[in-house]
Amino acid sequence: MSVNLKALVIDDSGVMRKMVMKSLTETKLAEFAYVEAEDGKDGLEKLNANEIDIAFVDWNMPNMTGIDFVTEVRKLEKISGDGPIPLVMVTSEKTMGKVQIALDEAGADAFISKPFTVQEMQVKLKKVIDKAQLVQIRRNRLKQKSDAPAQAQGSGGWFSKMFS
Amino acid sequence: MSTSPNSCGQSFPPAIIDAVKASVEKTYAAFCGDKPLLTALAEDSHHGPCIAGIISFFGDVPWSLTWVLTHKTAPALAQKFAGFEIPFESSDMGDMAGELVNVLAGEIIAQLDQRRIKSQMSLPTVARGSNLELMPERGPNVAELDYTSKQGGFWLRLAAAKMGNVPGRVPGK
Repeated sequence: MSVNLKALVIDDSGVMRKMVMKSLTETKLAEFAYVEAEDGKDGLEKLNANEIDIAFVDWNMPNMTGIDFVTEVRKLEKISGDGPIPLVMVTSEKTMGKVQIALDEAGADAFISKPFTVQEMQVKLKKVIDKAQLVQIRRNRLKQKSDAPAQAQGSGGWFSKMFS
Repeated sequence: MSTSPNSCGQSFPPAIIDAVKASVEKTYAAFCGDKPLLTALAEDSHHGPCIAGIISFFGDVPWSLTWVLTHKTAPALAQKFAGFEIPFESSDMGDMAGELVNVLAGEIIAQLDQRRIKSQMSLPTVARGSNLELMPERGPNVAELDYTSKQGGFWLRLAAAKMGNVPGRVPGK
């Protein structure tokens, strides 16, 4: 496990955020550093303020749902031309209709139903973690190429230009 | 010790009751490894400190579900579900009760979907207190399911609601 990833965990339940983070750490798929958010709106702000490699998103939350968060992130990525970061739905929703909406319509990369196990996460997240690593490598390369004045503007997140 | 029989409201939709029973078994087995037993709880198990997760369903049939856990059952179930200790009096226990009913609601919606009943869930709310008494929301259209399990007893209250008049916060609002 040599990959270091910054993961955004969005859930209105603090206990569920702890459960997701504990399980992710136990998968040993990567060395995770965590950023927490309480709903989709908070998640967008945290995504903008941090260099996030992968996000884990609940569906049913106040203020902005997880599915609206995923849709919004994909929309912003199209406008900015940034590569898509892996977005994983972690939700109690489990009908095929909801899975299709999340994966096919909104653009999530994976769907994990609550309650989940560490083993289930290991299987479902392997490819997504690989993708997150590629996103990180690409961003680091772009960062190296970028000129000093752009860096001096002090914005940490790769979404910053969308909000400036 | 007297016992209270299960009361399944005569006018409460049987398809929903069946879906709830199947969901309780499946959800409980997913994180406890065994199924709870539908039974009559001792009457005194309804007394004392309790915590309840409450969630509403809207769609083809509007109704609400309350999952009540005793102060003995809640920490045992939380340990199984979360994988770490959560004291009954902590704020995290409120969070846990909401999350448990939310997870159960997800399975109920999947079960109802198989029965061609379309539903969506509200955000959960939590109530905590002693000798918690759940009042029927509208008339006698209520069903109650009592369970025992290795983690302790718990019960569920299903209450029908009028169309367009479902309590509970809608996600995203």
